Amino acid sequence: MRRGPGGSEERERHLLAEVDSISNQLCQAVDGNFEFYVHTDSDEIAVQKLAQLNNFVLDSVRRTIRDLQASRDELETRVEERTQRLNLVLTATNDGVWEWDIASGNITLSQRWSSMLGLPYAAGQQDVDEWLRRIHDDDRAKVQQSLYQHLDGLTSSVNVEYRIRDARGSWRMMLCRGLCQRDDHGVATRMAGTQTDTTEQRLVDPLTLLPNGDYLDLLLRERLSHSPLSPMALVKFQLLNVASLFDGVAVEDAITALRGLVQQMRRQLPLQVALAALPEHTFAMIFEIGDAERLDHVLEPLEALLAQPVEIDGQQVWLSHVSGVAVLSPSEPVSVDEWRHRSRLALANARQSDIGSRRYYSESLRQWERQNSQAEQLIRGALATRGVRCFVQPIVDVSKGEVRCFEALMRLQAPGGKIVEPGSFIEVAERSGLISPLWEALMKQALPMLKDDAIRQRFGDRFLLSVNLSTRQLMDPSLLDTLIEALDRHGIPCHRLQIEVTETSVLSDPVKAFRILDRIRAAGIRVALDDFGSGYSSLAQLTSMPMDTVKIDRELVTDVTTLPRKRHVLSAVIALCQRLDYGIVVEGVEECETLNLLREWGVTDIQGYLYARPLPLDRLVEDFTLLDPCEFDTGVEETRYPDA
Amino acid sequence: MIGLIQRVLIDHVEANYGETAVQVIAERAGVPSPGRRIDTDYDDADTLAFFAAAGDYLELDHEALMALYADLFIQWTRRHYPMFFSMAESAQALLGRQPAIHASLGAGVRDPKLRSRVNDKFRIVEQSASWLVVEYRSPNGLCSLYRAIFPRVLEVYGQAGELVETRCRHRGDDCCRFEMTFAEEAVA
Repeated sequence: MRRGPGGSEERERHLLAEVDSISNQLCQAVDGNFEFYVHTDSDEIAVQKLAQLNNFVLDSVRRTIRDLQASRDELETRVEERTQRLNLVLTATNDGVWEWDIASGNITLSQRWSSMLGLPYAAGQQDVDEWLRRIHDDDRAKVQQSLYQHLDGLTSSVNVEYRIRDARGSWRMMLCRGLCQRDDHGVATRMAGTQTDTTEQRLVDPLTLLPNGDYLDLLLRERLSHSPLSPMALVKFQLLNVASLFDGVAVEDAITALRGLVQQMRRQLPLQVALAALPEHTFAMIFEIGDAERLDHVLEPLEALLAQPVEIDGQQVWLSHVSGVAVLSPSEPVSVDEWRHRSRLALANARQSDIGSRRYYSESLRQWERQNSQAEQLIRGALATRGVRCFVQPIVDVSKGEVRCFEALMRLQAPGGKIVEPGSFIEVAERSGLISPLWEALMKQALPMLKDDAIRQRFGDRFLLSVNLSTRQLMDPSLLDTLIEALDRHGIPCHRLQIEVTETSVLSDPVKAFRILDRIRAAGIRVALDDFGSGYSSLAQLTSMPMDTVKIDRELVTDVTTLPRKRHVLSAVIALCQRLDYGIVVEGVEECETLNLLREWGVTDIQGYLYARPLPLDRLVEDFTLLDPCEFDTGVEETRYPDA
Repeated sequence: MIGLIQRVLIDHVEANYGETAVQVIAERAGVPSPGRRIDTDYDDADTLAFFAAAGDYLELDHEALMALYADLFIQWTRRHYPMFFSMAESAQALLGRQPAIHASLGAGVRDPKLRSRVNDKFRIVEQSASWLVVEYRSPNGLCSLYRAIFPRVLEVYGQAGELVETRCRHRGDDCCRFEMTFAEEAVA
């Protein structure tokens, strides 16, 4: 049996040495290292116990550390999993994360937050002003207000949308949402939330995928904030008949074709010039050019592109366009609103001109605008005060000596009684959308004439009522329903109504117009092509347009008896219409000599001062008597109406 | 088996029958140098052989030897580990802590397999103020020792109680299971 050393002193030294040995071994723990065992060679139970219990303590420490490590690993794994899931969600939702430490006032932005703006990732905290500084001047106060209102407990969350500048200097639209974490006393300790990129929803036109009008607004404001200002021009192009792209093809194909076109348009522009899409197929761009000649030169490629047809579904579609330009002179800076307004005026004025026209803003357009404004006021006033007046002008069948038709003509009675002709207000009425109520007011007066006893007694039951339709009305898909509804309301059969459309109206979108006219004719309503020969006329239209009658404009008739070449043209047009079996009405006939010539050519239906000027409907029976104007030298005794 | 178990018996034989008796028992057991260190795990077969040889030498059958040993064990541990007894305010508290105390004896064993063998021998299955269930898993099958120690622990704390061994490896169970009840009132 092994024994401890004999003698109490020696045993005491031995015990001290063994205890000291154990203490020395325990010194290893000062480094946080518990991976060791205490060992003793002593036979003393007390010493072995000391070693054993130290080993137990060490083992407990090791086990506790292992358990803690396992818990930490598990926790880290769960945190990592949750982070990955959150990141997945945030990535899928295109969201960045921000966290605002209220005590320090600093903010921590996630990597995604930075990458959304193309910014390098800045780990760690930064001043909240770094964020706010990037926000658009006009939105910053709104964002701060939203943050502080929630911080102060006034709102349940932060929910604010703003514009922020990205690394390229472009603007992006962001939706910021966040919540406060509060302590037991309700005091906010931190605020955290997400930033969602809503640029596509807010700043991108969904049809063309180009930047939209709001984005253009940002660009305009930015350009005007530069100091010193450079000469600049806001250019707007409007495609007038984009609807043609959608005719007879799948919507998706049409949209693809349109997107292809706008991308081609974009490529025709200098790289630094953004192309923005505005409503009504209008496209805007800003050039740092103030000189019209240079602008024309820069826009040449774009013009050339738009002069080409668009290929869609194996067919070619020709698009028409106009453009308006507002040049900004550094010496006469204007506001964004004014700049936009000027370009709008220039474009609106171009729309009144030929296809392909470009108009530059000038002060004279202001006058034009004022006139338009006055016209609108006149219309609104007339609608409100029953100032829409129906005038009629007869179309006479000279072969039978009877009225074939009455054309209903709109006049407005201005304050003071002055009668205003359509040339002064129709265009504005169309643009402002007031044409429909005007037309309804006219029809309300005109349709009852077909049932009026005195009129029937004088002119019979067979004459037509002919009314003019504007381009906007013609293109309205519900036109036929509107017409039938109006006829039904007055108990008038369809065959007694004739609509008159101009070639210009039809040409704005021939396919659509033809389709609508076909339906109208199928319903029994007659269709007349008005003012044929007054401007650019296409003989081709004569062969294909769904219509019953051609009304030859006074321009082809005036002086026809004295100008042989004009006579040749008129006779050719008449002959063509006759061969195509169209009814013919010759307008602007004022002289017996002209009437006689037309009679020789077989024309029967005449409209003009020779028979009657337009006269108020309510004066028709009293003031108009159908006589042969050429039977007597003095012609028809005529009643003149004030300012008509 | 942890050396403390053997040490208690060796100390008893040596003190009462002399050092020679220890050598004789050791020789009969075929263990020339029986381990005495309380912080060391010795071969189970050697320990069991030493115990069997000691029973023969003392002319005690197994149960009698276990009864004797339980007395010795309680005395020995009360002397050398009085803190474990004073820490526990009742028999069930001491026995509830017993697996941890047993594990502390094996804490110095470096071999992880050997250490876990010590640590895993006893497991508390259920524990309440008057109810304790302990499982004992050991190929040594010394459940009789646990049964012998139980009444002596009750005695230390002046308590009454009962132990039922509901499972036993000797009966083919995977472990021995002691279900113990403790009276609330102390024994008069």
